[in-house]
Amino acid sequence: MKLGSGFPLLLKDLAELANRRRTYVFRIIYALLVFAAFLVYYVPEVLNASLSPAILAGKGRNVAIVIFSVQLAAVFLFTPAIVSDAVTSEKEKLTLGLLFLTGLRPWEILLQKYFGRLVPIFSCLLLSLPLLALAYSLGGIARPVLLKGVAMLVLGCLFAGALALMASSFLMTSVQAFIWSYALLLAFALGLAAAVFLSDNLSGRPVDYVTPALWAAGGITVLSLAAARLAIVRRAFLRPANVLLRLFRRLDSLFSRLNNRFGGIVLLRDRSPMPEDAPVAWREVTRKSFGNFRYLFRLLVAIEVPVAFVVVFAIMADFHNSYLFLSGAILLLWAFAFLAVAVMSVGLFTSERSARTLEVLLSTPLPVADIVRQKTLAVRRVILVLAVPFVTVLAAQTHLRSCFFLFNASSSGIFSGWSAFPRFLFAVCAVFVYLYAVMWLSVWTGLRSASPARAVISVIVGVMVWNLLPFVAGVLALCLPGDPADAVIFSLLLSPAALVWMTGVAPPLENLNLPLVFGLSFNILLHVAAAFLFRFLCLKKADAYLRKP
Amino acid sequence: MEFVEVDHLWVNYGRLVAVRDLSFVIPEGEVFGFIGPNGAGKSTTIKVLATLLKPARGRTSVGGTNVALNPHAIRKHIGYMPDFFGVYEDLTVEEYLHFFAAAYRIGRNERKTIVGDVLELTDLKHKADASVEALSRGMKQRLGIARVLIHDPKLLLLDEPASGLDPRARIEIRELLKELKNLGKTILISSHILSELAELCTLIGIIEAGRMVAEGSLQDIYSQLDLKRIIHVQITDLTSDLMEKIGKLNGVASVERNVDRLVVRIREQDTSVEDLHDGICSLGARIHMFQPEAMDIETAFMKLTEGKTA
Repeated sequence: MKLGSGFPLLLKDLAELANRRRTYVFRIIYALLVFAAFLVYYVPEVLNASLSPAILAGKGRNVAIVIFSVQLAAVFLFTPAIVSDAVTSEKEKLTLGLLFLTGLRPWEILLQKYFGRLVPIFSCLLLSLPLLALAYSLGGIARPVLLKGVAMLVLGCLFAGALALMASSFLMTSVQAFIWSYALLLAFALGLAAAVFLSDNLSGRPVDYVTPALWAAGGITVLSLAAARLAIVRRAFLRPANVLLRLFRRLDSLFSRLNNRFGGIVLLRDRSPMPEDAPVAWREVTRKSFGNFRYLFRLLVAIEVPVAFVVVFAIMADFHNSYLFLSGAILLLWAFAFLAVAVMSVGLFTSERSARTLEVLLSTPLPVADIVRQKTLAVRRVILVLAVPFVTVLAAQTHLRSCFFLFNASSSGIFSGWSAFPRFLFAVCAVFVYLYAVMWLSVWTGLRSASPARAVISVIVGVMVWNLLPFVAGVLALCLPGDPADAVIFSLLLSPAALVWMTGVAPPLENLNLPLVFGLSFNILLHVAAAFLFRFLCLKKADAYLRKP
Repeated sequence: MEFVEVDHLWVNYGRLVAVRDLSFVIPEGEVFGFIGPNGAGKSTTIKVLATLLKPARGRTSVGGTNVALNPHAIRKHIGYMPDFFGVYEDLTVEEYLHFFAAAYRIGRNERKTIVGDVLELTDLKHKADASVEALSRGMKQRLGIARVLIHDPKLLLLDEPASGLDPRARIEIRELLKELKNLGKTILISSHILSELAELCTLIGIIEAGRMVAEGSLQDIYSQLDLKRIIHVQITDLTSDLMEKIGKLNGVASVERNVDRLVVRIREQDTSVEDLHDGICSLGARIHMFQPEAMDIETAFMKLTEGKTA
């Protein structure tokens, strides 16, 4: 029996993926990540070993662990993006119903979709074989470690893929499935971190968490596939709905009823129900989940309350744990804010395209630049709201840092008196500058792209590459003749991740010195320029992007 | 006076030439029916006139204003309805029209009256507060026409306005378009439902593979193609002799006997339907049924086109 006659969907998906440029972009980024990690670890070792190559002997285990760790991170990063549209793409093209009419049973459809998306990821895993061979040749690596590493990678693919496939079966659009795939993965990672933290603290000694984590991941994989099987038929023909907006509207009606019953006090009256002079902005702020003041306030409460709990909890904990909690909160906030701003901004024009409302809007006398400006109003408001929890956590972090510097008289530097404050300023600047830059980059990508999912993925990949490039440049700078330390530090300071790390996450080991202040200022200015560049492109070129044949 | 002028228009999609050297004019107040197979270039031409596409070559003008050079000025004078279009489903019918009234910079004080008027004209007044999402397809199409009329444009560009509608909705749209014709609007309309275009349009352009293959009034096109008008006649005392005499009447091209009727084909340039009726009566025949067919635009279409795409 030919493969095609037994697995038509698997072959179709493989052929489609092979024809997509995105597949090769992923493969190249994956390879770059793995090889860059190898270089970052291996080049300093080689430089150290220049006097005696024997130093390298037995380092294979460490090299293999670095390669496995980076690959696992890359698998978790890329698998949801590749798998999340497996079923939603069929729903969006209205072809899922046709598949049900064929002889394929729901399980077959699901598994062919699942493995159709996983095969390219498995092929990416093979890219590390030369590096693993090199690690093996260095010695110090036992065969069980190698096998355990491979097993972890394969299970990581199956696990992340199953979560994404479940999201794809449950949800109606590729963008929703994409976001929820990462949210589920993050929830699992947080649950795992909490379990490790609790077990460490309760038992008082480090606990082996790898084996339970592997069992948990295996169990969740099976459960996710079963849930996907249940959902693929039951949720095949539902219409896409904005669940958040529906929830907000239900809350509106509940509060109105309560208000009518208990006195009718109105703190904030709704403005005119009809658009005035900026109709596009009016629709963005009155008909979207995060536009008007009421809904933004609810968003603020939904984020600020847990953040406030974290801050209070952190302040009551010891210094090490406080710092850990607040740093974790900052990283989570960044992930959430980046994703929220990127998805909202990308959707401004891709949603008009997919709903086929763009042509009609463009045939009105509204200048396209004006449409773009009006469209971004709701996102700009969301950025302002998101800044509040950032400032809360960063202020708490600054307070901790100040305490650290006060109790460490040995610390010295130009800001020793108010040492933590400049970092706070840089961090707050970064919140606004980076989020505005992400907004304009995402709008620009959305203007040029027909598919929301593709645009979101492009923005995420673009931002990731932009964050990583300075690190790769830093590693390459190590090979420069003479003392490359300054060049390496300068390269690293170009990355937004470096600024976020230095100003919000890194432990307060030393004060800011002048070169570092210049470096961070340059980083901020660079991203201000990037934000303006993308804004300029959006406003000046939108007409050409939207009206191209 | 020519209101719309398309002069040697070329439009490319990458390497694909969608419209090649297309020229036509539409005088003010005329209804121009744009006919052609799928992929012939009708929607592309309409999009160029709607300022949504830039042509590779050629000139288009509306009311004497160059479309490519003054898109903002043109947009105030045109109402464009695409073949497939979405509506903002999160708005009500009234909000939707107010949205576009604001987009067309209509004064705030006038908006309510204008929205009321177009709702009245499109028979959607009773749905003013309904969610757009809840409208039927036919109603959404009428809402689209209401939106097109909101700024009282001189030129309406309607791309397949009746496609995908059920017979009742189609008839409603056709009646609405007749009203717009009576209001003196210049209309460029593309459609596949040829009989409806024949009823509505004063001018027809048949396009294939990006080129205009015939243009003019229906009568002109029939004359060009030497098409004959068909009349179905039932005669109570029909004989072979009478049939022969009818065939010899002035302007009659052929007479064919079917089961219950005669099928008479006439050359309209030589005689009229009324003259034929008089002629048959003068032969002493008793006419039971006399039914001229609407001019056969479908025959013209099939004769002129080969089903090629651009």
